Amino acid sequence: MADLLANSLSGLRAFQRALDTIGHNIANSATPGYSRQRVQLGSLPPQYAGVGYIGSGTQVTGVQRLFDDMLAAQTREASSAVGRLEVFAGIAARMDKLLADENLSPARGMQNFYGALDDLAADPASIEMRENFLTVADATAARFRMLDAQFAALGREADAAIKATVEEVNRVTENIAALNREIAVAPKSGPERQPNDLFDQRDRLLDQLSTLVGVTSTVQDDGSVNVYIGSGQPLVVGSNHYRLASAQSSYDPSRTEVTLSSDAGSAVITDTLSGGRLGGLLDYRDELLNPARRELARIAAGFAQSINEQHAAGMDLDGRLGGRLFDFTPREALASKRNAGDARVSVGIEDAGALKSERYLLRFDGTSWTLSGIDSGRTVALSGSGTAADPFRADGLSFTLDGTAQAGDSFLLDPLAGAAASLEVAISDPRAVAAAAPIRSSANPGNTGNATISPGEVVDAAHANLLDDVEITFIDASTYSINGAGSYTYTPGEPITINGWQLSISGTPDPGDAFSITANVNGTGDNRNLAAMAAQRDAGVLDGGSTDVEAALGRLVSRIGSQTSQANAALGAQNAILAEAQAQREAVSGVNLDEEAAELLRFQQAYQAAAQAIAVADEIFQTLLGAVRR
Amino acid sequence: MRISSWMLYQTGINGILDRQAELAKLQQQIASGRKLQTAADDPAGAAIALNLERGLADITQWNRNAERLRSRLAREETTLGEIGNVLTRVRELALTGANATQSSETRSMLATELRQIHSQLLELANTRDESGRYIFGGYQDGSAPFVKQGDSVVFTGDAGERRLQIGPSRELGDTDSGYEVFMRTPGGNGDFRVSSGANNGDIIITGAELRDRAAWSADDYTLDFAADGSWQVRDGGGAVIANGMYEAGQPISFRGVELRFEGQPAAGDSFQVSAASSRDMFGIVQDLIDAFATPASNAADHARMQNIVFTALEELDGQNSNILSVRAGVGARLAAVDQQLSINESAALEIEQARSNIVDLDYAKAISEMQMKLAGLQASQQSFVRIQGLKLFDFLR
Repeated sequence: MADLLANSLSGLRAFQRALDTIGHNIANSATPGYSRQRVQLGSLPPQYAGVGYIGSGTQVTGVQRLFDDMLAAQTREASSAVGRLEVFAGIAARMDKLLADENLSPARGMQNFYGALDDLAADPASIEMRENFLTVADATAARFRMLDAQFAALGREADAAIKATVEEVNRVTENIAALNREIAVAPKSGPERQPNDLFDQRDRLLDQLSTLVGVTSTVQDDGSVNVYIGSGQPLVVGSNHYRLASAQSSYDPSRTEVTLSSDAGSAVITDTLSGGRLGGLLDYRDELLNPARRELARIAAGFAQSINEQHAAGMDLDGRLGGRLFDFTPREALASKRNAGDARVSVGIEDAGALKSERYLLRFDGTSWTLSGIDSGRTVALSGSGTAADPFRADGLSFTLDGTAQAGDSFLLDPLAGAAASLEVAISDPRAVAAAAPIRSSANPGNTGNATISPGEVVDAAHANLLDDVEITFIDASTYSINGAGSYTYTPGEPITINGWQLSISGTPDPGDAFSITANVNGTGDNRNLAAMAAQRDAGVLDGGSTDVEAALGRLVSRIGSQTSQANAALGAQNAILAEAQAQREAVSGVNLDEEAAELLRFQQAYQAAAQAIAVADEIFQTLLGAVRR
Repeated sequence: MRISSWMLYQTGINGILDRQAELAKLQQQIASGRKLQTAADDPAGAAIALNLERGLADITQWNRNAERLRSRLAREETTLGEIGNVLTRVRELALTGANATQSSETRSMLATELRQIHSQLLELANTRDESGRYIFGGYQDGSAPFVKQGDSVVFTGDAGERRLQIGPSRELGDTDSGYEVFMRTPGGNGDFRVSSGANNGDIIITGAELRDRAAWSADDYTLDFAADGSWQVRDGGGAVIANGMYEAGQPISFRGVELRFEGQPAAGDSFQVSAASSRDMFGIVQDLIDAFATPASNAADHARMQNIVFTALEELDGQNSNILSVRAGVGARLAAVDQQLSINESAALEIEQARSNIVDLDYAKAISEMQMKLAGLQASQQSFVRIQGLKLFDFLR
């Protein structure tokens, strides 16, 4: 029966619900991920009373959650990008700082090294200067080692963070699966009667998940959500979730890979992951840190090679030819855990100028070996046969095989990763610094012509007769003999090359004039080889001889710098996008306290009016009773 | 657009946090005086700055080399000056000894002084630098380059020259080879050397010049006088190439050579004329010592002594001008060092300026920027407080 009392009572009840919901909104105004709710009111069906339809009050038809799926997806995408860039830019900035550190900077080490070399060149016989030179050379090598160690520490940190993030992802997906179960069994009908707060909790978890790693999600009919990772591998399906795990690479035990378990077993999905903190860590490790470490090692290899070659062509204080000044060892080849054969591959550096900052895969198909670049995918041509006498050669590297390989065996070659840590000074005896050129030339005291001889330089330090005495005697003004034999045409100023050295004579010799070339034993004051080593500073050694060591270091510093500033700029842009997406989402879902206050006022007044209407109904009834009693 | 309370709050807070981050960065720049903290601040600028810093380090090194070079060249210059003084003294002694008024005894006293000078010269030739290296030893600067063997001095060093870099493309040697300084000067008058073979009469040589270079041919010639005053010149093969009668005051000429004599030749008097080869400074002094130490009892002995002194004086002139030219070379290098130092200084200034433009902070700009940002921060804070203080609930009483 429709009457004032019943109608007012329905209003009281409905406004009570509305006020409850407003209270809920206010209470959750600080809850992250909360979406505001609105009570939906509808009039009750009217009753026909002859004169027409009489209204029978109001009812709550549902509680609506103000939420937009598209805006939520947009926010998640943006927070994935921000999550990635935050971690990427953060660690990149630390690399950038390390490279700017004056105590680590290899470029400053180069300045010190060539400064000490120049100091020694001014006083090549001084043992103190030689000690100083070796000390500075060691400090220079130590800069490469320390910088690489700092980078390695960043790498370990990234690996630890990858492991921790994987665990966090698992925790979140587990909770999503649990909420999915709750949502699926919760009673619901139509769009207005849904477990709103469970949705909020789950969406909040999806938000968290997307800052951890890039995912996609689809809502199912029962309200649960399926989550996919990487290139579409399922992470959460209904109330089931699949665990991520961190595992050692099958080649490189020091490298952490991410695997995903599934009904079919677990598979490595590292390369398919993108976005979020996990994507940022992987990108950082594989696109910034490891390439930088390889580049540092490549530069160290070039530096060692350019100095070693020249040092070997000099003579030390004791009349011996100089050997290597620096030792540099590339990283050994990593055999796959799955290899069936017992073959081992040792890696050497043939020519630092041809080195590339690349990783390779060396594979045996049963008959032949193939080499391919892992990141570039290109096939690299191999020359040689792999034996110690004739090793495989490619990209400035040499590979020697040992043992027997089975078909399908493979090796990972990352010869430069971390190899900068191996750069060290090879000699400790200050007398062994080859400051002098190994030969010296002199004109015979009895010469009457005006011909002069140049000091000479070494073109082949390995020549067996390099240190043999040679006498050039002029038969007449245009011909000469060597050690009393032969007759050679003399052209003033033209280089004469004998026994691995080269020099020139200019001027007009008289017949009988002679010049002698001898081993530069006791040439303690000679600094020619140091000068030649100093000249290596500007000589291109890397990239086929087009880049010198310091230019390469400068390039490394500015590359990391620009990657850092790019990441920072991108982070700024993504933050703006995220803020915009959040603002849009908040515009729909966020609680505005002023608005709630107004609503509170509205429903309070309506509630008071309904209560007043009940009082009126009571009065009417009393009026009626009073009339009857009389 | 609808603004949620959280959004309103967050926007205000973010604004304040952003201002604060900017201020922190600016403060770091002001505190360090550098606007380029790491390469990320300006990747291209960092690469340029690195190059410029290398340029500065190079110049510092060159300047150090230049200072070293200067001290070594100054030492050489002093040594060469002393050698010049010694040679002048030798010349005086030679002239004194040649004087007819000297007796054999006074000459032997001169010989004694010359012996001292000889060892003084040897010491000068074996001069060492501040670190004990022989400056005239060439590359073999660890052992004395000039060694006395009997009456002669041999050079055991080499012609090596240590070069130091003092500028982008400027290298200078820090010494000269002892060989060039002491051993290499041509003997005689620079073209040929006259020495007396046998002296029977009192004929002495007073002049030897190459008048016609085109007619000259390097060989060992012998000039013989006969009893009748006739002379003949034979070449190295023994063939007579010129002859004539000696007349006092008249020169004897052959193959472009003109020789002047005083006194009268006797039969068997002979002179050798040979192409000048390198003559060492010590040998000249030794010749004089030998000449003065030998008693001269007759005119022939006198003539032999006079002839030796004649050649020695000619050769001393050659040595002297050699020392002078080496000294001039050292002086030129010292001047070059000074010039390079001033070039380096202005280059360093320029590089420093360029580096500073990239790396260093413009304080005026930074501080005015800071004022602006402070004002911005203050505005953000004030507006935050005002907006947050305005709540509808406050009016619901």
